[in-house]
Amino acid sequence: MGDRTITSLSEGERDRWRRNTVGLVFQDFQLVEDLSVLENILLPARFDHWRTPRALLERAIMLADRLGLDHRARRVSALSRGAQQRVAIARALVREPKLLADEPTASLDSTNGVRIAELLIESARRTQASILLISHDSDVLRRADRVHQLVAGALGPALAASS
Amino acid sequence: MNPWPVVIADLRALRWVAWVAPLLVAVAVAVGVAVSAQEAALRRSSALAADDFDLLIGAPGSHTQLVLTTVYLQPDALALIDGAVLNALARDERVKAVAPIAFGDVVRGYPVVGTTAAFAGRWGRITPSEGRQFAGEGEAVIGSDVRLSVGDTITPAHAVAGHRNPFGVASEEEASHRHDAARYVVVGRLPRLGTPWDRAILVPIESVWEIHGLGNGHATGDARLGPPFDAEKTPGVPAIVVKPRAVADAYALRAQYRQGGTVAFFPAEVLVALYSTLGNVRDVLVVASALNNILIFAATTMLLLALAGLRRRRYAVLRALGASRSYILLTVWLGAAFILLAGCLAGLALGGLASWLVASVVEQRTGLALPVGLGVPELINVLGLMAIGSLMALLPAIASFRTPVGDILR
Repeated sequence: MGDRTITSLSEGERDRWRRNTVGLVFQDFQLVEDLSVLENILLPARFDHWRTPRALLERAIMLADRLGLDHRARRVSALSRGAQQRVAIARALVREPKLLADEPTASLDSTNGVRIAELLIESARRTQASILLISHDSDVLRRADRVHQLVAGALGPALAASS
Repeated sequence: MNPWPVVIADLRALRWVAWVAPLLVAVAVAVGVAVSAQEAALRRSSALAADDFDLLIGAPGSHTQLVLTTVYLQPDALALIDGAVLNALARDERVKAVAPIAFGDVVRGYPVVGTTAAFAGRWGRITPSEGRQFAGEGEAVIGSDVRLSVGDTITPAHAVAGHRNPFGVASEEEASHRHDAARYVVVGRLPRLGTPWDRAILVPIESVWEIHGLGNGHATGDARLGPPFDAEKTPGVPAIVVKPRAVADAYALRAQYRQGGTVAFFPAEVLVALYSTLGNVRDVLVVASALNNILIFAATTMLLLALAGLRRRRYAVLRALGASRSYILLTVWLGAAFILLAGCLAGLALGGLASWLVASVVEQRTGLALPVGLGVPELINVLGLMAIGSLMALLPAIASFRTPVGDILR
């Protein structure tokens, strides 16, 4: 990753690297159900800040707005699956990661899927981040710079982005 | 780092268990606190009640019974001692003051105690808060808790062994033993002592003798109250309280009146023996409540360990999002410690409440005011349990700390 070999880092360094470099969106979101939308988005900030820096707080609210979420909603468990996924995406983006990974659009309807894909791509462009995306959605795949097919667990050769 | 959002979410996710688990801990802790507070209060207040009874002299028999009857007014039939002893003591140079105490009658369940005006005023320590001290036969002063009024006229009844009236209630049993010719007029009310004597009706010893057909202890026509009792034959009394002039006098008097048909002793001697029994009972209760605490703490820790196990995936997700191991350790520890420590604090309050309730029941039954309060021993006890709770909360925290992340997320 960049010029660092991840496997040679110590556990603490790996934690810090994950925190600062990677944004993860889990297939089943893995939100903390009893927290509000804003607390969920800000969760990665809690790992190293006692008080959330103002910039992070504003970014979290901005992300919630851009993703069509009410950041004041008290419990994420009351939200629809689509909204929950958007919370998970906002959580992954809040620290402006260099690498965004997993299946971020699988549970979204096509309108929202496109919106999210655009947000992901724009966010990645602005922060010069890479997106590692696993998807079956042709709309999303069309926007990728590089597409690989996974065949029986092995990475296939690069395909043309439009195919 | 700030683990609180996750700690609070974890506690919220427990729903009612987050209330019941600390409550279980609280009940266990409260038992220990209450036992300790109660026993301390019982010692203090029972010693206080015996304060004015320096040396007790009675007929041969149980010392404990004599103390229970005279100091704590637990009624029992006592053998009488020769009234001549009273006069001998009144003349004795080593004696500062002496007073007979006679029982036997009741009015609406309140014991009527015959004594001298000096002892009714606790050797000058208290004066009536209302009205005045009795000054002649047929007059009475009442303890602070007696539900009668100054100016009331009362007729005493002979108390019957084994029958006990509720306080303030006139029963048929009592009416059937009434001394119909006898009357007392309530002339005063004493201030609160916090002892069973707050429920006594105090009358001159002379009246008690006279009602029971023994004369008044004085040469006929002499209406003056108190010693010396110069009748040809002074009637007997169940107990005599002696206030010696000095400590040496107290021991000399005790030695002298231990023989020749009387017993003499310091109530403190009896109390020390009672306290040692009380202490043994307390020790048994303390051991029982300690075992209780161990059980509840162990059970709660098991619960918290199981919970940490159930939440392995959540903590693994947090690790994947970049939380350090120590963040997880702190989160789980805070959540577990919160439950145990909240239980300990609630237990302290609950224990205080319980001992206050027990104290009011004891006071209602015996008249002994128990000044219960949470003292240093109870606080140390709970602080100790809180320290243990904090350590036990580390167990689920360490279990979560050691869980490998990759395997769980796969």
